Amino acid sequence: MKPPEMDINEFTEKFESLFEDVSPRFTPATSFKELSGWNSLRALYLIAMVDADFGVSFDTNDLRNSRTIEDVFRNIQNKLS
Amino acid sequence: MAIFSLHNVRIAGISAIVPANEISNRDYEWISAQDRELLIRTTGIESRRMVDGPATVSDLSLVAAEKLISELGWDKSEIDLLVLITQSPDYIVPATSIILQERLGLSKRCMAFDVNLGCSGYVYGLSIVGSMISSGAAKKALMIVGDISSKGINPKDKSAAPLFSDAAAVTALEYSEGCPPAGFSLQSDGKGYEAIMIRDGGIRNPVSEKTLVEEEVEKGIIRNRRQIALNGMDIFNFSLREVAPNIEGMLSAFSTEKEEVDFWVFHQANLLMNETIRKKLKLPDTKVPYSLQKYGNTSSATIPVTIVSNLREQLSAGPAKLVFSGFGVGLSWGSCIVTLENTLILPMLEWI
Repeated sequence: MKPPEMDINEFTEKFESLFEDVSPRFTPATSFKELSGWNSLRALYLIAMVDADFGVSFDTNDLRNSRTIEDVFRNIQNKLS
Repeated sequence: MAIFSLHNVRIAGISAIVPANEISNRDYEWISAQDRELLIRTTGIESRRMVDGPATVSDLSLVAAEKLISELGWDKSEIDLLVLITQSPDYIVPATSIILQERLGLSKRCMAFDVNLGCSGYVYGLSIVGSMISSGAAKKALMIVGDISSKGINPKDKSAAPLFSDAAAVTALEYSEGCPPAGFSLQSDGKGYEAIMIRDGGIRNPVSEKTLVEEEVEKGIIRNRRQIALNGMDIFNFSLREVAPNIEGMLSAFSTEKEEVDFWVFHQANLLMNETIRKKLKLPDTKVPYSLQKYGNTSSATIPVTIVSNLREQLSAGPAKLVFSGFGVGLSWGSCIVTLENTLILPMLEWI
């Protein structure tokens, strides 16, 4: 599967769509693990989205090493390069 | 990857039994109302069945097996193989299947043994029992799957308690010359052995004074070392990575196109995981039944529970090709393609 061309802003919107109530809007610098809506189930949605859209696995270590949405995006880009 | 086919084996009948005691996940007050909604939406599991009292897997199996034997009109003296696949046996020793052989009044000529597998157990079980029938070692066999998972889970563990449910299911198999072959693809990966685990009570970590001490692993997850510990993220990643290629490999080995398959019955893990796998395989939702809303994750029994709960009518219409896929604890996974024709499928039984 060819991964989609996606820039950081589109990815941030995708990330935002995993949540129901988003206020204020997410930015690439959002520390997502500090959000009240973040929990282990939300992590599963992230894994499913990364798997479906990019065809790569995002595991426990990747999550541990990511603080912001941009960290997640860069991690995925590294896996693809 | 072990890919093989079995000949002259027919699935004669299937029965399944669940406790009458129903627990709604909407009443799972260990977590907040908001988290509860997200949990139900993500897992798809609305309610679960839990034995209410001291019942064991052999107690439930006995009822489901007696009913199936009688409805099939089988002569008990002809049953020469009984295999029980469980991870919650009545005792550590001896094998529960041997206790069942006696309780069912089967002959002493009957072979009986247990197999320690969970989520992949139904597919593995069909391959083990099918191989013994195909080789001529047995002519008529009962393959029983099931777990009383509720006894090994801490209700204060949000990562496991709202998922698992109790059940047992019996599949009757027999030698039948010329019936369509069944194809299998079975795999395992012990690197992930800690992903789903009960740490104490075996020889590695014998029961000690620490065994029953509850520990708060993280917020909302309290358990002791004799209760199941589940790493949801690892299992989720493993399933997304391995299940679809295993099925694709199996179909291609047996030159089967997806369009030829009437129904795809997956282990009922959780809705998000199963739906992601279904979309990866590009399967129409009308061919992929779910029973997890009502019966949760019943371990090795999910596939027959889904057949009994969702496909009884459809399968009475004539021969049908089905793909089964089981994946989880071990890590262990596998898929198979079977043809069901005139298979007696009993309505869901309840343990009261």
